[in-house]
Amino acid sequence: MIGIEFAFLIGGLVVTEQVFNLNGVGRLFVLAVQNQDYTLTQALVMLTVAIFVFANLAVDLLYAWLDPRIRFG
Amino acid sequence: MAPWSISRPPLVATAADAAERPRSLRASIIGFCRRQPLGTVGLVLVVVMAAAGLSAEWIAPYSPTSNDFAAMTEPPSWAHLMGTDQFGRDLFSRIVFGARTALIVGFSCAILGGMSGLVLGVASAYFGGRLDLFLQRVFDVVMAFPLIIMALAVIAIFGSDVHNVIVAITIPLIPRCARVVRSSALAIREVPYIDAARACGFGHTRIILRHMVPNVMAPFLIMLTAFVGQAILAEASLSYLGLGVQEPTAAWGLMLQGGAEEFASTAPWIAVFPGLAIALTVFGFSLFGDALRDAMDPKLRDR
Repeated sequence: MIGIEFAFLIGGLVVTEQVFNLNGVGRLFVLAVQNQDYTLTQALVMLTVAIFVFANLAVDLLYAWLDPRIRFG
Repeated sequence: MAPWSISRPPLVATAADAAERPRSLRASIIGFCRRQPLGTVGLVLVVVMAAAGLSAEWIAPYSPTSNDFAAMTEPPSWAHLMGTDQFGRDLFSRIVFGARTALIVGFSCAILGGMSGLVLGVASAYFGGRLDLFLQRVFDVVMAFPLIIMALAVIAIFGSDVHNVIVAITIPLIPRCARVVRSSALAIREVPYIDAARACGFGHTRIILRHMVPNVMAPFLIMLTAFVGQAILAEASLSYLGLGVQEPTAAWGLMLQGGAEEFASTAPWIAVFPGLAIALTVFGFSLFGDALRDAMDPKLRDR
């Protein structure tokens, strides 16, 4: 659940930064898309997805660590 | 002729539905309202919003794009039910026309994404084997992109336009639908009447269309209502970021973007009403979807 929630939070980050006028990755993302800066957009998508994938991996590993009944396949 | 007659399964195999079958549509709607009061609230919200979107020309007192520079940032009054924005456009008319935009984007995304997901999910479950493995890995990859990020990336490639917004929101919805459909289709594949149908020599198309698809309809329809809400929310956030529907088209997200920041303290009605419209619509769809799930598929209730 935390892994999925994490993805949702990253998605929400983009909008939240715009609402509160914060400077961050989300703002950078929107600017990159507006300016058709493909390289920057690609890099940011990669970054977000990498964070998401590793967060999910960490969650999966934690499951196995916290609950001994779950074994690695 | 005997084998053919056993191969037709009952469309939905739950006991509750079997009891409801003889009742008319009207009676089942009344029954739904009585058993699901919250769902009824959701249904009413959805119907009001759909009616507003469908008959926008007749409801809206002004044109959503015409400026009245004599009445800029007016507070709500009888002439302008929800006030006017900084360009003198009537907010009520814009909300009503925004409902149409939201409706178009929400339903086309949900139907396109849902249908593609249904086809891919059922095919993946039915054929199994290597195709299943391949499709599942592709879905894993697509699901790794958060919805908004994926939509932004698609917008970055195609540019912002209503059609591109629809495509951008549809793509992330496909694997989510396909997952759910696949999991229920997998269970149905093992049911004896599928074997019976195959033993009768029916083709893949007929088995899938006549025997599997009707049985995954319940989770599919539930996903569909959830998707409409999600798609409307995604469209509003994209428009809010300035990357979705473009001015001067009336869209709720755009109205928030235009008014929310500069006029939040001096003219709060500019931001409050579109925000309320988004929140109520998404709330309505999720309430209705939840009630539909409880009514159609009691087994899923615990999820």
